[in-house]
Amino acid sequence: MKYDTASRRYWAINAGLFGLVVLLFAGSVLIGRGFELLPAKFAEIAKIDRALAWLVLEQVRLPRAALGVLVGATLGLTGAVLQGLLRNPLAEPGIIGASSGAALGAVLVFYFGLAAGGAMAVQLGGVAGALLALVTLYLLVGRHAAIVTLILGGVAITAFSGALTSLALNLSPSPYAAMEIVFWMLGSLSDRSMTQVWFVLPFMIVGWALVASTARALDALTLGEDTAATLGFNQTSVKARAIIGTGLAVGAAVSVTGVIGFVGLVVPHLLRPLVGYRPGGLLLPSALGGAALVLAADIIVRLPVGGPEPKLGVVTSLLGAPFFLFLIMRMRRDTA
Amino acid sequence: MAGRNDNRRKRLSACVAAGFLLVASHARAGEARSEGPLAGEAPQRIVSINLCSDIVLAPLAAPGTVKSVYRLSKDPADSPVASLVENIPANDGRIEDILPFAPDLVLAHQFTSPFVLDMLKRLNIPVAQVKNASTFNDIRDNIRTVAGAIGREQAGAALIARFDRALAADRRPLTPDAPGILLYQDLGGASTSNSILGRIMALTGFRNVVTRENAVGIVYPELTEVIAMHPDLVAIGVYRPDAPSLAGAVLRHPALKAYMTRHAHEIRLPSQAWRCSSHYIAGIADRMAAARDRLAQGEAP
Repeated sequence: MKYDTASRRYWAINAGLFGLVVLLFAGSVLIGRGFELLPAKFAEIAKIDRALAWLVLEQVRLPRAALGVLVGATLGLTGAVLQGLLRNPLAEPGIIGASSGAALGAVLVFYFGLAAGGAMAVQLGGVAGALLALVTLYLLVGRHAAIVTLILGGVAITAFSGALTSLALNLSPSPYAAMEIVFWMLGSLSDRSMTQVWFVLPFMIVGWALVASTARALDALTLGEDTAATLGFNQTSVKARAIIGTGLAVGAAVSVTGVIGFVGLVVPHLLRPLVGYRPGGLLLPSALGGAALVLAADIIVRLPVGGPEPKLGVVTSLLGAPFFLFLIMRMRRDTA
Repeated sequence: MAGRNDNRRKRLSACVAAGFLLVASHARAGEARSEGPLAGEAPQRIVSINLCSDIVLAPLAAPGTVKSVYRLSKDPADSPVASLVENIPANDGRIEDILPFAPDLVLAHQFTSPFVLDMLKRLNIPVAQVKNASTFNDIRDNIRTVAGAIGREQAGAALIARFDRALAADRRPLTPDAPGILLYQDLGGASTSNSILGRIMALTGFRNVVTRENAVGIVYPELTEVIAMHPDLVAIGVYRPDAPSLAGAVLRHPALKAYMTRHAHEIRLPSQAWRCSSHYIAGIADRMAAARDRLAQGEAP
């Protein structure tokens, strides 16, 4: 009886979040630079050429909104999974180094000619970088990592791969190295096309599937690793799926949008009180919430006109960093 | 390797010492110059530490007087004077790069590091600075500044006259039906009318479709806006087109490509000609005037 109400509530929350994503998706397509609405722009371009107006919709506005959903969902989902897997409230692809590892991988491939090896080489580089960062962290801090160890390990990996990314860009023949460092560190969705969407989609789908397959094991893990094992969950397989899935999805996301911080941290925390403290149940709402947050942040960056657009990571960090501080304060209070 | 380093260090310490010793003599030279420039007193050991001053200096300087130029001016992708300075040693604009040449004049930019400028001032080494040019007059001013500092006023006047003749030859009437132009660069930047490139657009009879202006002279319209502005001609200035960079990605976007094939002509401009907005932008004006003439005759630009 009680279960039914809880379940109804759970699906109502998911439906609400889904509605929010749909709304923000429409907003993202509709709203342009300086809050100029699409119909006016569409009519203006349709006067030149109607087919062109459709092309703008299809190749400029839709891919931007679609990437917002895909990247946001990836960050929210992997944030929730990592928090469940590591049983650590501060785990997030950005904080534990997966995102910056992915940026390093993508940068190395993009700027040092390997991109000639195939259209998806940059995405593969991002995936490899993210996986390398995650495996390094896992080996570094071990299975029973304390919160502090994990965060320190993540900080070290993030700082190290961030420094290597900057170094690689400085040494690269790119004429705009300094500006491109900013892109890779703070992320942006502007002026992407459908090509990028098709590039990341396969990696994300496989990554999401792997990560989602761990949902029930994550629930069992809350009872401790031994109990989870007696319930029939193979620890090695669960960890491998979560880590490889995160690497695939985050690596692909970062390789087209750069590092967008804090989404994976904030979203699961915001939603946990609403959907209950069951890590498996948190995955779907976190994916939806992540998509909503990135879409909303991407609408905010369009506000200023004139100069270059602010980077997406600026907005997510402005929202996320104070939240991170709030978490730390609450943890201090709880442990005191 | 060690030998080279040793030599370099010896030279460096000798020169730092020389730099301090030169203080007195420079003060005297300064007094002498203020009484009126004489050909014999023109600086003989000129060091330029900025691409923008190199570009003005290279065509004006007397042979053998330029001892060092900024490293970028030797790169043809950056510099219209690369061939003129190929045998001159490069510097990286730091004080330690400058002193070994024991300069009697340093040429720098308005935006050169204040720490370097301050150090040069303390060493009493005369410095002349070119400014950021956004009008044709700024370009003439920069030529006058450099020509005056190196004692080659006549060469400067001749260069200005050549520049003015080139601009006059490229002047086209700005008719009401003038074709719309968008000057689109890497990173999706478009030149405004108050930039030097904007002034060239107006000079050569084009209507800049970018109506916004700002102090920097460049705006970043979204792709959607670019298409909605409906330019007839898109002049693309790509800096190092072969280098891997996200900067060129916007120029390869499918929507922009489709617009260009159906509705606009495209010309490519050599971006090194407008580096630093020097008199070499006359080359850009030539190209755009030619495009304007061909468009008027209904031909591809």
